[in-house]
Amino acid sequence: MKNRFKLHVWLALAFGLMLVWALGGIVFLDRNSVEAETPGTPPPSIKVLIRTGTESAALRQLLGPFEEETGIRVDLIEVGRDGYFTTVGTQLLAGSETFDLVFVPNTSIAELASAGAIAPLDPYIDNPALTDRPSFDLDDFLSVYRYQDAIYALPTDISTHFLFYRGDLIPEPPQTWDEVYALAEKFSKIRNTASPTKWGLAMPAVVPEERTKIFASLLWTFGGDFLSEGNSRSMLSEAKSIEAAQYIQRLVKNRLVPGDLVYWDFVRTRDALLSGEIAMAAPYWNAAYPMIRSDTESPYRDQIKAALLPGVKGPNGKIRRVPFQHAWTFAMNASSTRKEWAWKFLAYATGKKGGALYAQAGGVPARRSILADPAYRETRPDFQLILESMKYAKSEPAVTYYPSMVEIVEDALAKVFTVNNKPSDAFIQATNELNRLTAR
Amino acid sequence: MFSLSKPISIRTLLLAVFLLLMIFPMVVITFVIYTKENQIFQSQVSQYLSQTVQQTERALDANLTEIDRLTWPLLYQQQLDFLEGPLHTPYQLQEANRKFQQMVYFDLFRGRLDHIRAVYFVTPERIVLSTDNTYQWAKQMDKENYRYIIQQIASRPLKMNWFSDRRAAFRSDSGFETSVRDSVVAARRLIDSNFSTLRGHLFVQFNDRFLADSLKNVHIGSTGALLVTNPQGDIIYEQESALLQNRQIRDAVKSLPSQGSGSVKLQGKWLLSYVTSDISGWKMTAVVPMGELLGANQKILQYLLIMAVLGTVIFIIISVLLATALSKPVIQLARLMSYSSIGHLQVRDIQGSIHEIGILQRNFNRMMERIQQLMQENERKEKEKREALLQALQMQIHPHFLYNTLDTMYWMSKKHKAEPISKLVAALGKFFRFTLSSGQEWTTLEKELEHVENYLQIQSFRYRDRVRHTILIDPPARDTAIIPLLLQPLVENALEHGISNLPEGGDITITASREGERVTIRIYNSGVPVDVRRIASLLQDETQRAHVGLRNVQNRIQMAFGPEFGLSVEQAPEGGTLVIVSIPYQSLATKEAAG
Repeated sequence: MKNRFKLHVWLALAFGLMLVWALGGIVFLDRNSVEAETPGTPPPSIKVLIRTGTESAALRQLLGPFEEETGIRVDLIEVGRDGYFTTVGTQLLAGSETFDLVFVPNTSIAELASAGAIAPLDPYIDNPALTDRPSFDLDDFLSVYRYQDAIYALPTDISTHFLFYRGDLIPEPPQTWDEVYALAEKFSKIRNTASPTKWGLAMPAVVPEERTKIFASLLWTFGGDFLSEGNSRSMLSEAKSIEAAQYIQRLVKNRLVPGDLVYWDFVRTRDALLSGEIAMAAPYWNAAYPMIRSDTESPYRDQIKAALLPGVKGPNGKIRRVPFQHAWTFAMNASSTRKEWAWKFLAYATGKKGGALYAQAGGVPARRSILADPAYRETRPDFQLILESMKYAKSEPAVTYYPSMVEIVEDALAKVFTVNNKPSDAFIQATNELNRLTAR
Repeated sequence: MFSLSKPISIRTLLLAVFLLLMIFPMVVITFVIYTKENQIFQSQVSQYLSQTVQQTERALDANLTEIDRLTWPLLYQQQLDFLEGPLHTPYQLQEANRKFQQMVYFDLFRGRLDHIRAVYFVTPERIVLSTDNTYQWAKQMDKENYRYIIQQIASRPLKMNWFSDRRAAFRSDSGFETSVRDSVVAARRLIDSNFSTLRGHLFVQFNDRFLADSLKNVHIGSTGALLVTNPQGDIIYEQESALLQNRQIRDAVKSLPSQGSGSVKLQGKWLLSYVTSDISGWKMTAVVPMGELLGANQKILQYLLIMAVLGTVIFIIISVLLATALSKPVIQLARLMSYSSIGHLQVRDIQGSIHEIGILQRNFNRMMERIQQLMQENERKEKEKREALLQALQMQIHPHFLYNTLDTMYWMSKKHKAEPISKLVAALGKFFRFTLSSGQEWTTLEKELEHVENYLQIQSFRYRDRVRHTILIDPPARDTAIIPLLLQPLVENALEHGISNLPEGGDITITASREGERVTIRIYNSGVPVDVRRIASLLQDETQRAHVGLRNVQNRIQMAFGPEFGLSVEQAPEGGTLVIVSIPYQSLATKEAAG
């Protein structure tokens, strides 16, 4: 009886094992079946359209830490500087979804926001789930960019104009443009054969971007402007504006600046300083400072100093300085399908953490707290100078027709820089064109 | 009813094991392969169809995007000459129209003119610039369609919007006889990027080749078809196929989700795979009969099932045959055992081809033979015993008469002074007394030897003193228990075969000695020596009729004392024959006390 029971148990066990084997096989095959149609959700990622240059190189340093922190991959689409604005404007106005964030200067905000091509950022800033307002600290920005009361862009990089000079030749930086002119004569071979430098002064005057912006510092310092208050009419034909143009043309005429200045860009100017070709560069971008400091080949690296842009002495003896300022900002493509991820990167790149990384990578974040941070006093002495310059600095007009305006101004300035026309003639013609534009 | 207490038949067990080991795995594997393969194949077919549709849709989207990109030069910082001047007079309009045609039709779209039916531009003031001389005025527009298009564009102001020709603002009802038909319309808003003010709306009217060139060569299997519909369900494009005329399919296409992509099985007959374009909002649907997709696989699966069924049948047959082949000899053996257990010992099993079962069968046959032999032997012994007992009883019938007669003969011989006769009669009387009392089972060695002595005395009269005998018994061996009449046949043999034929006669010497627990009785005769080998052979062979007495004595000793005891026959060194009887020592008293 016992043996019979044993046999039954063995049989039951055998059947049980076979059943387990069969079920195991089915389960195993189920687990290892071919994946269904969907290949799986791709990891979150966004694309950023950006201009090739120092900003993109510095911003690239943020991508790794950001992806590590959020898991969102960021791909930069770098576009050359020459066709950048056309690319940005066309793609945004065409509703392209190729990118989610776009790197644009503050002067493009009005134009793009009015066309609905970029999205307002307030819904993301005001959403506690996406933004911690206290730590994001909106007031810390040197400037935020609005259109019709809505924020459309936040700055990652702030720029202004400095005077760069050879400290070994010019012990004290000139304080006025007249002093600059005198020093330019002294250090130009054409006037002083003993001058160690070929030209006393240089500045970038290439198009696009440089010519109008560089001239803006002079224009405003001399008391002129592009447009009147309220942007209703052009002020280029005003005497103060023409005076600024005349100052430029006098420098060119007297060969105190290179004759081919209209082809000088940021790099050419920097290299001229480092090679000892010029004694001064002004107005010239603050971004050149860390590059000059980090250059290992130039014998003049340590002799090149930066100072506040010169001004014009007023009747009361006070010097009036109005340096140019502008910012490169991040704006969100209105046609983006990944706006929340895009906002996360925008907030990170313009935030204090991203700003600190950007500063370490050589950029100039648009946050007061970082620029004033004593930790940077040694490594980035230009930050203090930037903050000082910002006290007097002025931005270009935020108008929707900014590109058309610049085109007119650039054309007028080309006539001035090439001594093709008298400044008054060139600026009166530009004024008429601008007025026709504003009248529309 | 299954019960644990019920023994399992070996055939059932073998069948169960075979089925378990052969059929179960095959059924399981077939089932798994069938279901998984079917599932995987369907999934992959669905996936491939879906991928085909998605790729086709991407190709179509690329086509639409290309058209879109052709309009991009008009979007940003672009001087539109045809809008620069006033458009009040017919001449101004004609000039603007010429510039529009030049810029838009011949410059922008020159590379795609084979696909474009006409391009229109409608200002906010409803001034129409057109490449089609037939349609130059706003009053020629289908106002409802125009309004609809403007509304749609307002919801996606930056994008190029796509519509079916049913929604075209300008619809041609008449014109040249041509096989080229209108198809879709692309429309987008143009603004002045300086001020973001509306310049107007651009309409690009495509002909039917625009979609057909991209889609007509897309093959969805051999009988499948492709269908493109807009979110309202209007057909944008359809391949020529009877499938798309099927009402069920058309209804199913309409009920598909308006967004995303996926695959749907319709009534198990058709597979629908669809994807919706983010660019146009159009849904591209591929329809293909399931039979066409799965036909080859279904055939393979059918073969698999047929093979599985055939395999199962073959396995069952093999299982039954194998189980029968293995269990039959065992069952037969069991049946024979049952048969033999009720007394039928003549049964024998046929030797099988399985080694171990063959051993069982062989041993069974041997066992049956042995049992039969033992039973016959036992029967014979019982018969002999019964006959001996009968003889003894017969002899006991008249013992007193025999004793009285012998006593009379003794006294008569005494009276007539015939001493030898009186001795003979006395010896004969003792002989008969012992013989007749031999019905008792045991006697002592001493009495047995006294009986032998009487026998020899009687025989000495017969052989007229040619036989001389000596009997010596070791005192410790006297009370040894022995079977009565055991030694007399041996002495008879010694006389008969050894001495009787010698004219001078001979000696018979009987000695009995005890060595430990063994008693040895030696019966020596000086007569003719026997052939010892033959005697040994005779003792082994039951069938031999000669020397039955010797064999009987041997059998009796071994039956009484065991196989280690018995007798042996030797040739004595001095001549003659020596018979040695070996028995165990046990006193008669002890034997009787032990029962």
